[in-house]
Amino acid sequence: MNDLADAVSRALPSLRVSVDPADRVAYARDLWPRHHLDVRAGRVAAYRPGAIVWPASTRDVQDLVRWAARARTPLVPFGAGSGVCAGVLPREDVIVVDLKRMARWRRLDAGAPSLDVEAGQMGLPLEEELNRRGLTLGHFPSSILCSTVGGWVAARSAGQSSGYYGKMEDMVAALECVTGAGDVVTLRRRARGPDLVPLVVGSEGTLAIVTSATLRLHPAPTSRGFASFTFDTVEAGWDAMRAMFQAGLRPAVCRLYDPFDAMLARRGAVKREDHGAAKGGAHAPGRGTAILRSVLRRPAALNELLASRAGARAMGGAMLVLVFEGSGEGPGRDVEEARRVAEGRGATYDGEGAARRWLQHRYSISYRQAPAIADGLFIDTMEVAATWSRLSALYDGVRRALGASVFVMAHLSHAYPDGCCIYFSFAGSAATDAPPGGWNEGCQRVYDATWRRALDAAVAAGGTLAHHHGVGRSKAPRLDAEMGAGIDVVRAMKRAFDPHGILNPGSLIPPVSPDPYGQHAPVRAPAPSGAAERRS
Amino acid sequence: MTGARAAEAPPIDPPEGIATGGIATGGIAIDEESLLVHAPGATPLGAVEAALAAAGLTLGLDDLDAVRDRTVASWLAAGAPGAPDAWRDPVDHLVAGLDARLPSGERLEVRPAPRRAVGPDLIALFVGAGGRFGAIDRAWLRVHRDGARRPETSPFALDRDPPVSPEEEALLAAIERELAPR
Repeated sequence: MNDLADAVSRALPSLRVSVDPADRVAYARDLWPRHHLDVRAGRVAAYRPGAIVWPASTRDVQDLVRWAARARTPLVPFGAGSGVCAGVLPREDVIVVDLKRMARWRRLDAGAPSLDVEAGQMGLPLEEELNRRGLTLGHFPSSILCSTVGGWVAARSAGQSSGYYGKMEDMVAALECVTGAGDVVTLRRRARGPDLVPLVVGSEGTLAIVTSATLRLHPAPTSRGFASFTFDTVEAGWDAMRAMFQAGLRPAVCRLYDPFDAMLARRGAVKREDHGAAKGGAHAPGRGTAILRSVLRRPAALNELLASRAGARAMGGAMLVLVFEGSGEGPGRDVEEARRVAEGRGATYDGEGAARRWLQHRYSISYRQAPAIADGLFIDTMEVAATWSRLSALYDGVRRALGASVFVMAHLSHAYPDGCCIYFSFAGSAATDAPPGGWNEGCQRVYDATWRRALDAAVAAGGTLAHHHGVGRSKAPRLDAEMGAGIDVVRAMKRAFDPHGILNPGSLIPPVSPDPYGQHAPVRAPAPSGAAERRS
Repeated sequence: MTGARAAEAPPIDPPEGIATGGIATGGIAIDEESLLVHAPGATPLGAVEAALAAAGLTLGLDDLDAVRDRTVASWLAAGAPGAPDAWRDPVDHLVAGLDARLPSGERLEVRPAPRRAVGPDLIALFVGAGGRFGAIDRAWLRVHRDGARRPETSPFALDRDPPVSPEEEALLAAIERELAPR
């Protein structure tokens, strides 16, 4: 035990507490890709929390928060750790509050239908149990195997079927939470207001710890309609998406892949099962990796080529995948209407196969990031959104900003009548063969500069900094560029909900220090021999 | 639904010191590609609807006549009575962005976006809050093409207007205090 754990154990003897070294390492991070670079460099535990606790009830959470408020001890709420924006970045004086012991269903109202479920409920078991009862939440984030209800609420999550069921903020009817003052509050949506729910949804654990959520449910679909189309350009594809949503069509799944992403999808490359590192086996970078690194050091020309019309044509064009859900003949009729819209914009109908395959493999991608990291590269994703009239500027601006230093591809997978999200995926490496400070330091410099440029470009184009990953610490320094005076409003809310400032300090709300990449640069730990700077 | 009931309530004036100015009819901008209208808060809804009609568009309210004379700002501050039920089509939304003045006099801009994940949704501080946290200067509202299909998902039986609990009121009061000029 350490002093922090001793103190919380004395004050709350029934609370499960751990200072086990393995636990402290396991809870030292979320899935922020920059963490992976630290881990690759041998810095696996630079941000260990002082202790981890597992409350089993709202009362446990309330007692903990009240103790922490008196002791001025920071708390970091924790779901399943799948966040990608450094929402979890503890220190020795921080207690991580893992909510997964709170996973009970409190009330299923099949008539409404709605479910009041505790925050620690994991995603896939929730959906599977609802399906057995003929119901669905309709929320299918690619992290569904490693995320919780509380995490979804905290990050304003979006699922793959957002085109019909909406985003997490569209699903929450009520929240039970414990404020930073230790008060248990139930917040309810109101058609005519006032409505505090939208203030806590997306607040990333900085205003209150969400202990349960009442979620709107739907009858599970009994029929589906599938279609896929090819467009000459991604712009033609999103024009069809816009037309569909503005015509009142609501495809649950509506995914438009740019030509390179589409080419990978057509070849099934992203679903491959035979990668050694993905299976946990040893993985040694080889000749292919060396070539890839070389290409990624000068990505601008490649990006330009792939973004050209000739490049798009050579790769087979952009691909749109649609899945409609409902009952009876409805989805089939919607497919026919969508087909008229798409073909009216020059698309080629490619049948049902690609859409059916996509549904079958919908969760296959999330665990495929290890190989590239092991190969000495870095990869990440950036999800931004804008109204349709600003989408072209957002796509071009961010793509150009990213493309100067990393290889970039994109898909559009969350559409609305008034706009759309663009999901950029990118891969990069250090700028030179032998960067100052070593390979990993070189990668981090490129990574940080790339993110700064891309976020600035998103704001300059009139887009949002994030659509469903949230802000965490990684984007907090750029938040004022989008929100302006809104930052002061968020700070006022922070004081109102969390007067002692103990809930996830440093996340979401910009720190005084201007740049978390610098502020949180970990103390260099000795690297394991031969592992940290391995290059081939 | 409480749309008709709420529509009978008198317009809610902004807090003292936060003026919305006179009734305006100009300054309405339509983004036809995104199906959004950017309307001054002082404009009556009837004037917004007339401008939209000229472009073959509509706000698509369930009961426009009940709120035709209300300004955009007072209508939103009252919770947009007569607007379609938000649960009917969860993919759609009513307000994409807004410009507001805080009690301190500071101007706040929530830029238009279909959805975002950049912290608390500040629009909730102004829609249905009775002007308690500031006054709406302009709003980005969703519009619809005349005669366009309005999708509906499955029915959802929920008390749309539960009473505000003392705990919620305490939080609202705390936010109000923190936003007050110092």
